[in-house]
Amino acid sequence: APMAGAGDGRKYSRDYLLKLRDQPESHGKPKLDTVIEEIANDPSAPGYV
Amino acid sequence: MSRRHPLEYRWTLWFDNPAQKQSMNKFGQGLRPVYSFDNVEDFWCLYNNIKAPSQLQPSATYYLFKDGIQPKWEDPKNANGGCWTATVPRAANPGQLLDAWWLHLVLACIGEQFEEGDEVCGVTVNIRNGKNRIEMWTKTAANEALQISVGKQLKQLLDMSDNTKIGFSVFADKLQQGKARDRYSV
Repeated sequence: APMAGAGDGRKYSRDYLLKLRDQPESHGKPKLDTVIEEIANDPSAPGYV
Repeated sequence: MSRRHPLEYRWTLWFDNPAQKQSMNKFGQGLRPVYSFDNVEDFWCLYNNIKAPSQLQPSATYYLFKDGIQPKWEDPKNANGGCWTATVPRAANPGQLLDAWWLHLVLACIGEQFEEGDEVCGVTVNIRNGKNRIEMWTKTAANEALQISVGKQLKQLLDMSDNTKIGFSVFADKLQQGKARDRYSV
């Protein structure tokens, strides 16, 4: 079952998704062997919108 | 304790890199799938590690599509569809607005916030000199009522005023004529 605030099943509100952005699991680096260099974020650039 | 939040669909981010295009500039030459995810945490791990649209070079495009759908008009899931297009207005900070539009649109898609979520094939953000835009690709162009509903939700999501119009064009028209007049607008 979804966590409180998660919404309806696999529906997630913007606010809830943004809240999940701050948890540790959301800050790992994915297996970037497939993520091409041209779009890799510059760590010095602002990361959040 | 680690807990992943599953998404309704698996999604793939594609990138069209203008630097990869040859002189013929044929569509799709620089198009590559980048990464797929099916839960919220993996989405953020991707998003947090890639450039925002406003940081990309001109002519670049991000595509976020449901797994199994290629971001091409000819893909069977797109062939009877079309897209809503919204151009970023000349605002005080158009880059910031573009990035916010893209993020809000992506979150609405993966979070299943559109009433007709099954109708959505994918979304794009196109970096073009002076005319950055986002598109929302849908499956069933012939269903006017459904498309109008999607278009209205899109405008609301982007916080667009009532007197700002966005248009829906049909891929079959584009394939036949090279370009297409808007079939619907809201």
